[in-house]
Amino acid sequence: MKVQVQARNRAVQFGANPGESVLYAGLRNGFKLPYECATGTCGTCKAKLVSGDIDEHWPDAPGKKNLKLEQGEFLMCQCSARGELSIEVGAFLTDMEAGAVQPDHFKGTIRDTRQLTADVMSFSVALKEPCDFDAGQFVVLRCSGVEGYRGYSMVNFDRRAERLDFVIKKLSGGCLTEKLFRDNPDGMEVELFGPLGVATFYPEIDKNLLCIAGGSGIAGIMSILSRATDERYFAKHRGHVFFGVRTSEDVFFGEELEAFKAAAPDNLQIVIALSHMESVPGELQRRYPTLEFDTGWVHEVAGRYMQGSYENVMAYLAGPPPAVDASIRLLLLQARLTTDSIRYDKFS
Amino acid sequence: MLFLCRTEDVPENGMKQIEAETGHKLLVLHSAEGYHVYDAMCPHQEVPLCEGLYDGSVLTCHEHLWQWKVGTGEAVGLAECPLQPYPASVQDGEIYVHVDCGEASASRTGT
Repeated sequence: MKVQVQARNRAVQFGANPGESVLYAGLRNGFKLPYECATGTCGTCKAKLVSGDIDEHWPDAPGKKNLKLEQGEFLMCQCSARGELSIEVGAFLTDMEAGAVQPDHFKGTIRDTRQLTADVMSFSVALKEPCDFDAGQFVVLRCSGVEGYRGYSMVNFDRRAERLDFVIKKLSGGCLTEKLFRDNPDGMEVELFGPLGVATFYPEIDKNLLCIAGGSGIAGIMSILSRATDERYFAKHRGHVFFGVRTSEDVFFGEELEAFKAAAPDNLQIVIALSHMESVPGELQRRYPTLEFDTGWVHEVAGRYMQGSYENVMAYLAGPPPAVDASIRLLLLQARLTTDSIRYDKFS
Repeated sequence: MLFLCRTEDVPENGMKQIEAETGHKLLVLHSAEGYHVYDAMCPHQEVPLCEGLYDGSVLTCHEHLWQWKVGTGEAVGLAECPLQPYPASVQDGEIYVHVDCGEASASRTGT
């Protein structure tokens, strides 16, 4: 089905499959339609219906809260074309950067689910066909029996990846997370769309890295560290990683972070911030002797450790929105970084 | 003229969102040069600018880091459009704007 888009600077058209969201159809045809979460919560992908009919997949999507419904506004990620469609997008439409991976639909099978802490688990998806992505990107994923896609950042980094690794935090009321935590999901078939997101790392960035992550936001940072380590990036650049969790019981990826540290002992600093503890248990420090531990919110700890070290820095932020906002405040007002040296994706 | 607030309501290098008696939401910012008045919402995606960051000269929307010089409304960095300032004045410790906000705002955002 043909979709015509009038953006602020140009008009484009592309084909969409039956039931396929307008956003995914545009992105997989190489058009950088505006989006952030791609799953109905942020509202960034709003467009205006000019002619044609749409099917709405999630009428109660929280991302609709600022839409002017009476003017025909809708979320491209949550609507598909019922026939020929003409829409308006209020943003500028630019081409994808050279070398960026064009997103597409993939199928795979869930493998190797593993409980990491009381409310975090890891799982992998074995893909039917390999896929490329940039370190720091995410995909949206859905499984049978659960409505809609949810976004997850890749933990690993591989060229022509045949499997994607993820972490997932158990949220009360999150249908997909509950299904993954409750049932044994190994072998479950899933559909994916991606890669998505702009918080990407590649060695040509040529800057020192500052990564501030809360909770499962560490996923994309692990992918960045994986690529940086593979390419010996920390032989010429500094890396500072701040990973916030609540208590010593909530620490995960300790072994994996120690492996990154071991590959670049002089230039990579990894600090785990415990937000809900008065002091750092000696047992935790003994278990991970090459990691540093401190108490406080992750952005506060990052602010203390980074004083005087912001020169030539590219910052990557991930995690719950309040943690990302607090980190932005730190980096703009105290560290005086410019906005083009801060990268993050807002999932909600 | 439309009354917004008293000068002591907006400390230097601070900002405050005001709902004028016309129902319009405006943002008042205090810099070393005086008081500046803009629409309260980010022109990008209707995020309240008072939730953003202001250091006394540059205003940043926290959602996507669009930035403006508060003296002129000029776009900085990632921002794709400027902010339109409302002419403001101070009389006897009270801040006023000099336009009908209802009309001005409608003509700016109307599509």
